[in-house]
Amino acid sequence: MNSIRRTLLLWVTLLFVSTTVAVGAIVYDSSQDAIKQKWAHSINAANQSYEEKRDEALQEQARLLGRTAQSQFNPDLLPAAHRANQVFLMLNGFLPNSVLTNHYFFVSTRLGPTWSTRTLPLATQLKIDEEIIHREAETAPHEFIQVGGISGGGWVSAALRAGNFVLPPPPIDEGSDIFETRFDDISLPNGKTARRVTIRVPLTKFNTSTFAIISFLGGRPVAAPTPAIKGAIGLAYVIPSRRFGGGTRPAPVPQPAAFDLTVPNLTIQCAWEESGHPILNDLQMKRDAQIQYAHQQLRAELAHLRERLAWLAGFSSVALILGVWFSITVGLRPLNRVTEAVSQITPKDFQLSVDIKKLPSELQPVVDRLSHTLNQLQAAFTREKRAAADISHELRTPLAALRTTLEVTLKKTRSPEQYQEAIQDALTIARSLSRLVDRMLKLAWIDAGSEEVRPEVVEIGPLVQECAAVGKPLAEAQGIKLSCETPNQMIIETDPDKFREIVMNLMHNAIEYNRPGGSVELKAQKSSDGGLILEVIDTGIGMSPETKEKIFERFFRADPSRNATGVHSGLGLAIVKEYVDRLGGRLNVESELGRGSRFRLELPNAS
Amino acid sequence: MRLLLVEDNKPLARALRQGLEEENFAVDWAEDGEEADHKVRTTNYDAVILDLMLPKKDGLTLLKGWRESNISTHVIVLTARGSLDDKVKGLDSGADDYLTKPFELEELLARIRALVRRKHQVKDPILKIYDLEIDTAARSIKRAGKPVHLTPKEYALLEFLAFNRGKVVTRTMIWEHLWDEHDESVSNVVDVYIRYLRNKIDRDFTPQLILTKWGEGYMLRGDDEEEVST
Repeated sequence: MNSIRRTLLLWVTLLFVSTTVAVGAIVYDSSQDAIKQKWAHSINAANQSYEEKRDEALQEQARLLGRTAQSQFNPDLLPAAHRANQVFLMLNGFLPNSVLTNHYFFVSTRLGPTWSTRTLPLATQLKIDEEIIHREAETAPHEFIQVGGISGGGWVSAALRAGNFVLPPPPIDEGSDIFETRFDDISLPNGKTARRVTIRVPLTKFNTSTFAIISFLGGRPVAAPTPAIKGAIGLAYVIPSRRFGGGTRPAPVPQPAAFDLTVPNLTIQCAWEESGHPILNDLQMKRDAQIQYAHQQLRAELAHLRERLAWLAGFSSVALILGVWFSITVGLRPLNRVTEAVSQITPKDFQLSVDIKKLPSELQPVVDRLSHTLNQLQAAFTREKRAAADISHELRTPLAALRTTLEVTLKKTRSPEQYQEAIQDALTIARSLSRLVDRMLKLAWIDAGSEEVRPEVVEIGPLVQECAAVGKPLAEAQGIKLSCETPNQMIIETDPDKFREIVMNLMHNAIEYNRPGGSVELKAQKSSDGGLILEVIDTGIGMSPETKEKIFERFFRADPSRNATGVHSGLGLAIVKEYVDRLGGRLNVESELGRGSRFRLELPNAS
Repeated sequence: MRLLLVEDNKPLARALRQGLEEENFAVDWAEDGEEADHKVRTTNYDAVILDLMLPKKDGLTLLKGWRESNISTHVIVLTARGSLDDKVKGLDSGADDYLTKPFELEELLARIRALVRRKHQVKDPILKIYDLEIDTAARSIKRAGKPVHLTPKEYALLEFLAFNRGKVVTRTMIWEHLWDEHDESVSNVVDVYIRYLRNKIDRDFTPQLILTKWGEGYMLRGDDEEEVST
């Protein structure tokens, strides 16, 4: 069954569900973005915190090393050399680990014309105890430490010694600021990555005076013996890395020679393996735990979001369905009123008991139309009821007459004349009854649509004359003059039987509703469009306008007392009207009370 | 009993009138509403048989008019409309009885007789005056247990006297109730019928039931009536 309520509910629900799904998807999506951003931030923070702690640890170690290295430097030998009238030559770098670990000076002393040459250790050897550096024994294999020049040399940690490789040059310039700290990631020959910190620490500062230093680097004299040189601690410590490369790696691009003789400094590089270093492992585990937690947080928040959205959708769906149900109920209330009003309609009361002005405008045309139809129906119903009453009256009264006549006659023995009279009466009644039944059947046929029109070529003149001939004796019996005027040779195509019936009925009426000395005129003529115009004019009693309106109604009689003849059953004009309609014609009536009537029939030519 | 028949269908009116007259009712006929109205308002009928579909003035309107004018003449409505609605409407308008066409003549007669009894406030169809029994249904009488044969006119006269028992009825009253509008007025016809009646019911019996009130009319002896010589 199709229900407005259900259809509306279905559509609203569908609409709502699709809207909710769309809105939910958008809300979920944007909320998810925000949550994921938060998550990414947490992960970043964890990473950053890890890196900070890692770098802090590295830096601490590097500083420790720096302090250690500084404290171990001993420049005591320099004053001794200074006192002698000597020329200093230094050959640097021919010894392994020579930066600050073993610096020897070749000292040539002029002894008269000759120079005596001897070597003197100048710098203190850098001795760093691994235990100072490593907090735990197991961290040693993962820490690669190099103290010395910028490209290596000096002291290296056990892991570097064991692996027999040097760290790649740090991303720090020769001339850049002292105290600078640089971090970078490097790849180790064992395939692992390591985090490295490079710092430079100054060595002790002191004054020198007049002596020249000639340094050879790679055999080239690069000396600048000037008094401005101060604080040299012996010296050149730029050691080309290729000397120490050990062949394990491709030689790095040679660093530009640079001397910072003002402040000699020490380069400390600490590199910790990212994987394997216990401290870093520890930090990494903490970081991973944080990331894990962030992941869980993310999943939980997303689940929570989904749950909230689902609840929201569920609640609003229920609320919407209830709301829509309620709205529809309220909205349909006027319809219910109409339904109730319609259900109260009975064959006795066709009134729609509903105030149309109070109804919504959508329903007004429907109710309007319904009321109109009901009124028409009531009129039809009343007409039918009256027709049924009329029919029963018309049939029952002659039947009662017939029966009473026969009953009275049979009550006792009568003379032959009396019997004859009674039978004559009965026959008259039976004849009028059968005429009545004929007409009623005719109308019933017309109503049922089984009365067909059978057009034929008809010559009008003779047909109308024939009717007049039948009516003449009747008219003369009542002292009425009947005249007939027809055109010659007029032929039209129409149904002759129906046409005859129309003429006869109109003529009978004209005679019946006339008065002695009056006249009836039948006048046929051609119309301009090839059809026929027939006029029946009488000088009879005429009709009032109210009567004129009703004459085509069934069982209506202008004067009900004139029923004795049986001709006027009140059906004649009803049949005439139906026939005229069937033949496509028009019938006009003009009448004046006391002056007579004029019936004007216009019939088209059917051909 | 004098009746007014109001019926516009001529064959029915003719047959009915004949049937009623043969039952010794005095019958007047009205063909339309106006005529009926006039006759009811000028003549005291025992009952009116009224068709509802009438020319000029319809039956229900007539009936209402009479009741409004306090004319209480008994009315039997006779009509072709057989629906309950119509019957109710008819009875509500003041009809005493209702009969649908077509009808049995005998039924109509029985109903008219019942109406006349009701008019005289008699319920039992058998009237008893001393040892005289009048069966108004069978239209037969007995005196001292012996059946007495009366002509219809004599019976009608006795019945009329019996319905007005103990009261004086004038010759005019008798005339008006027993003879219809078409009967020629013969001055002593009532006295003639009284004499016939006395011969049949009073001559061989005592007490004398039909009393003459000089200068007034006749009376059927009531229960406490002193005997008055005729």
